[in-house]
Amino acid sequence: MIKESSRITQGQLFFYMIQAQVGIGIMSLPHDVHAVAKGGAWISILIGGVVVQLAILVMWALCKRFPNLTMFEYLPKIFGKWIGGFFNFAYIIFFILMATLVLVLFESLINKWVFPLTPRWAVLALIVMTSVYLVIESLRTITRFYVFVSVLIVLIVLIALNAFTIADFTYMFPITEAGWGKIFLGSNKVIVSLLGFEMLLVVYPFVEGKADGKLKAASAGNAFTTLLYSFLVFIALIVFSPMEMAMIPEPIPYMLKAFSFRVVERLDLLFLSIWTVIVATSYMNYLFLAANGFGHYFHRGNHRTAVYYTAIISYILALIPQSPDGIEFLTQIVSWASYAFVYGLPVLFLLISLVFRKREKGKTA
Amino acid sequence: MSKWRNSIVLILLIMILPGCWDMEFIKDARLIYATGFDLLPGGQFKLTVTIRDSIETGGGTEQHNTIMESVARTTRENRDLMQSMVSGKLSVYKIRVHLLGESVAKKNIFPFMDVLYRDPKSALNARVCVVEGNANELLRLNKVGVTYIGETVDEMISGEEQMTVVPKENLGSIAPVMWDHGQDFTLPMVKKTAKNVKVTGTALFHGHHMTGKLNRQESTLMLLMAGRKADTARLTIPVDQKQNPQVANFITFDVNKAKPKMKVTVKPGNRIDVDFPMKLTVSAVEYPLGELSQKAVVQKLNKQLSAILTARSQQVIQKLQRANCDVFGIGRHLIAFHHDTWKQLHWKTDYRKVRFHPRVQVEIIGSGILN
Repeated sequence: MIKESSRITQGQLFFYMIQAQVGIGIMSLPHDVHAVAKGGAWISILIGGVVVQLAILVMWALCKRFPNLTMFEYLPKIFGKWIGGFFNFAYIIFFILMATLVLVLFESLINKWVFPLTPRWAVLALIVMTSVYLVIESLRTITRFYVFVSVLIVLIVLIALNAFTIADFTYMFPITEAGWGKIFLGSNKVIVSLLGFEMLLVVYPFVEGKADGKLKAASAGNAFTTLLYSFLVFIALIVFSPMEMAMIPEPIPYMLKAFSFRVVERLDLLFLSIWTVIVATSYMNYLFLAANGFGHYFHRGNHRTAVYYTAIISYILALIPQSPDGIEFLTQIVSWASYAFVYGLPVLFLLISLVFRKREKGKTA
Repeated sequence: MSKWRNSIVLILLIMILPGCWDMEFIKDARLIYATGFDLLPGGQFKLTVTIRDSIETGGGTEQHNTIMESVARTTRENRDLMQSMVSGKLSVYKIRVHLLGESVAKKNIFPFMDVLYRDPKSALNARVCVVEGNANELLRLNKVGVTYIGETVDEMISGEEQMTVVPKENLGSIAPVMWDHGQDFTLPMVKKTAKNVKVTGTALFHGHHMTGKLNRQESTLMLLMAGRKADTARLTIPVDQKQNPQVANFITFDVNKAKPKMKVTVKPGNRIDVDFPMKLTVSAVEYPLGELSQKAVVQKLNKQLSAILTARSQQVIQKLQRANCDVFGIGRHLIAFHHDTWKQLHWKTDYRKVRFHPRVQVEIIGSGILN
């Protein structure tokens, strides 16, 4: 059972959703999607959002059958102790890998853009330590922080709005230059960037209220993220000419480098500082998910102790890949894994629980 | 106990958090203000920089300007070479203006500028301009009047931007255009006179190299047609020949509003027509002949000015086409809205075949505080 003091409201779920989804992807998404979908990249994002929405529906349908249990608790109920446990540990490893990936990408960008001389271990230690400090608290505390820092997203939008002063709308035409096939293919990149929503599997029982309301909050969060990404990609599309876009891996901060105001000279640094917090929340999310899993198995449901060693594991793992090839390799592994763990397995779980009529016993919420 | 633990953690964090790898002390930094790029006759590459130093003295800060130059194979190598000649750390993040010597501008400019785009510390909002002649000689002026050369050039261009004499561009803004096949950029052009600097007009580029020039008046007209009027735009046009003194033959007016309406049509056989009407509402700021209270006179003037400006814009377009400089982004328009046509075109040669039909319509609506 979930402790009363760690429950969150549906409004908080909305913000949790946003903070879990928005993250590292902001930086490079326009470049990555444009490489496939050209001027239609912003449509790819919207398509990706719809795909994610479908996945959210599946997870919701699954979680609705076990309204007071996290995934770590109900998988053994569906599959029995051993197979369920196997899946659970697979998920824990997946969450740790996701956390590691966030750290690795974060470090490589910070190193490239802001601190070229600061060693990896220092940059990583900073974000890991801050995250641990928050994640050892209850989910309610974590979420309150997420709500609080959501103001920053408004700031990001405001900063990005500057782009309209230098925009040329014709850069995005012809929108279907790449063809609809490629535009759909482009959404492939997007559904990896929108990851984070799989937290529903664990966070769902923490949320107060009826199932419908939870779905609405989660969907609204996803819609917000999708629109935000689409907006940022759109902006990058109208600021950079197609060939230039191919050369710039992180269009959003690059675009900000050209602006200067009387008070603020380097908008890109301002953006990166804000972005650091946004990335930290993504990392915290995975840290919480993995620690919650360990907590369920080793600490009688309390995630607090598990946070420490989960963080250390992800920290050490993040120190390993040094070269761009290593990072690329990790990205590949994790994105393949995400298809299975986020888009594939939940469907399987749902089907099996439907066929074998598995649902939480006792009162239904 | 917990209080003690917290304080110790806090002190430790304060020691760790500030970091000490990427510190850059402003007191050690030697801020480059302007850079000049030149190709020497032998093909060697000379970089000239002016460094701005502020030295604290008893009474306040004293400004100093140091000019350095070096010859090396690449921009970065030049920078490193210079670093070996100065104390302190050369810093590029405050560069305000880059001056491209004509020798460089006429070659492919990108190889010289790659480092400016690649380095995260570089200032993408620095102005770029072309120097007629030699950038090194111009920077060697050191001071114009009481102002250091870097500031002089920067402020001059900034002033002329506001007068719509030269295009408002910086490193960041030319990048997307430079890499687009469907449009070209232009840059302000300056020239060293005996002891002074002047802004002479606009340098036209095609792709990555300079292919032509416009003088100040042509440049203003071009910017108006491109819909890039800044705060003010002023033109002086002869409307009479008989008056004595000569000064009385001219009208000078400020453009209040410029409304260019470009319409690109593609006809069979890939014939491209650009209909280019532009409506200018202007106020006279100098017109010794007076008479602006009479409707008939104003109407006659309107007609005359429209005819003259139409002819002039034709000349400007001719120059642009000869320089292969697609400032108006006709190619961009084709890419975006006539993609199939675009694929069949060879823009390098086909841009010159585009038929422009400029038609300027002037309307005088103000006359200052005189009639």
